Amino acid sequence: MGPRALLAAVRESYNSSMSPPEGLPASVLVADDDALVRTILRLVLTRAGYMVTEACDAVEVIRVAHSQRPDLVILDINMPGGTVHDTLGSLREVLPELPILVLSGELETPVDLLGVALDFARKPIGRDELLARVKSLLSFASMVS
Amino acid sequence: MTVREALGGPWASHWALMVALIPSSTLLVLLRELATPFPNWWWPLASALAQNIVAGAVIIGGGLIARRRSRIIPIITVLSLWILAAVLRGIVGGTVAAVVAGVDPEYALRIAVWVLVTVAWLPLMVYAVAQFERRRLILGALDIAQFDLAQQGRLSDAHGADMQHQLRHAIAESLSPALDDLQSSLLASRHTLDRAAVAELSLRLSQLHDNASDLLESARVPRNTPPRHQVSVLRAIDVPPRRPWLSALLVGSTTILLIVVDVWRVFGPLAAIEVLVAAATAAAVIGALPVTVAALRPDALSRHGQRITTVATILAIFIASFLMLNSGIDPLTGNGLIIVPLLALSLAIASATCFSAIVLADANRETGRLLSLVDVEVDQLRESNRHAIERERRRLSGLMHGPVQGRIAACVMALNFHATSKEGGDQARFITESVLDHLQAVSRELGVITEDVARTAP
Repeated sequence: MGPRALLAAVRESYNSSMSPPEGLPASVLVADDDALVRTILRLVLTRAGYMVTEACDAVEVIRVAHSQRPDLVILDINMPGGTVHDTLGSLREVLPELPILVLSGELETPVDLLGVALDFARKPIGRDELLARVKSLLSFASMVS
Repeated sequence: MTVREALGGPWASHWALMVALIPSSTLLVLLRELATPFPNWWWPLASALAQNIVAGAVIIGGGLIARRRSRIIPIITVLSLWILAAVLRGIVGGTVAAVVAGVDPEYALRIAVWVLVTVAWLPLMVYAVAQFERRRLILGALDIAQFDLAQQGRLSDAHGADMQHQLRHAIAESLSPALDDLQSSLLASRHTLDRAAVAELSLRLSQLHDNASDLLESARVPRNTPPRHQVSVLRAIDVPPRRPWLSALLVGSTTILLIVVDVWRVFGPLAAIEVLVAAATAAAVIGALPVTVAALRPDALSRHGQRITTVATILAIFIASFLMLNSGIDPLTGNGLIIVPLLALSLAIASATCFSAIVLADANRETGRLLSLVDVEVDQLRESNRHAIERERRRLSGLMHGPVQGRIAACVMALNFHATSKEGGDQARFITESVLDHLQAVSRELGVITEDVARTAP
């Protein structure tokens, strides 16, 4: 399945439910250099029942991902400490199946990342859209695994 | 433009060309029928009219039919149409003369003369008109290409500055005031914010974010209106004469072919010899004048070529007329008076036709080569500008994205969450204070960007 087809499959699996999958709460690593964004994402996700850890730069993302092995990473496209390509590459080396949602301020989808990240969303992202994407990514990842 | 494209193109059977040929062909019929004893003076005119209608119908109608298959008609088809029209002219003229005046129709002679005149004149005229039209189009294309070249040259300097100007203008006129307004609203109501107020602030901030995103996408330099596609007639023929002796040869031979047979038939051999001498002398003048001017003042030919051609033609017509009336070769001056108008018209048309056929064809080839070079240069410059503009857009975009748009996006997310959250107290205070901090940071950043852009402006 090509990256575009994969992205389409993920988006098709969106549903209206905002609750996390049943069983143990999934863990989400929120990576953004803006403390306000991290705080908001943490509040939204924890209220929806997810366990959230945070990282504020590229080095910390890789370190936390390696040590805690989250179920999902939400990654800002512009992080200090490394390019998004390098960060995604490092994450994929250790956790090849890890679903990653890249948040971007750009109008256009960064096509060159399609093969590495699983999904993209444009900032500012609303609460409902965020939860829908997180849930569908986790469902898709569990289905694939 | 190849010979096939010129001769098989639209002018091969164009109604305007057929109409333009009516005066000279009518004069030729009048000359030919001088020896025919028609009962009324208008019969030669009626014969000419009938011949023109038949010839026009064959050429225009045949052209329309032939052009259904292909835009360019094969030369053999075009020649066949022209020769068929010439044959029909001879048959119509002979029949009118035989029926009305009761004379020998002389079909063979009439057909032979018309075919000869047609084969000598029509290809030359069609080729000349096609080259003239091509000249106007190719000069128009060159104007546009040079306009593009100049515009691309200006763009390479101006576009970066223009984008920076637009960014500075938008920051000063739109983003900064909206941001200040938002900050004031938030500061004034930070302790009494209800959900509706937060939602309204979030919406305004969201619009601000969209405006910042669209800012660089909409930066465009307006394109000026290009010049006309077809240049004026005077400019199209403003070309120095070339190969004047070839022009002279063609003018002399086509004029002699057109007139001399009928003059011999109507007025006798002395008048025909007089026409030969007059036409040859006129042709010599048309060839000699540009050569003499070029020898005396080499730059005059390139600067005043059009005037020299016109003067040479007028002088040639004047000398030919003088010879026809005063040479004494044909002692009957009255014959010369009848022949002079046709000779003058023939010399004028032949001179213009040969000028277009020879000079404009050469000039078109040179202009075509120049146009190709300019087009290549425009393409290279356009590509280079595209890269430069994209670089500048990315640079400005980089300045705007993280520090400005990223912070505004964070504020929108925070206010959205705040508007739908049931939590209050410390959490709400933290969000409100963070949003205020972010907005102040964005304000500072916009000031820095404006200064930076102004400093790096070319």
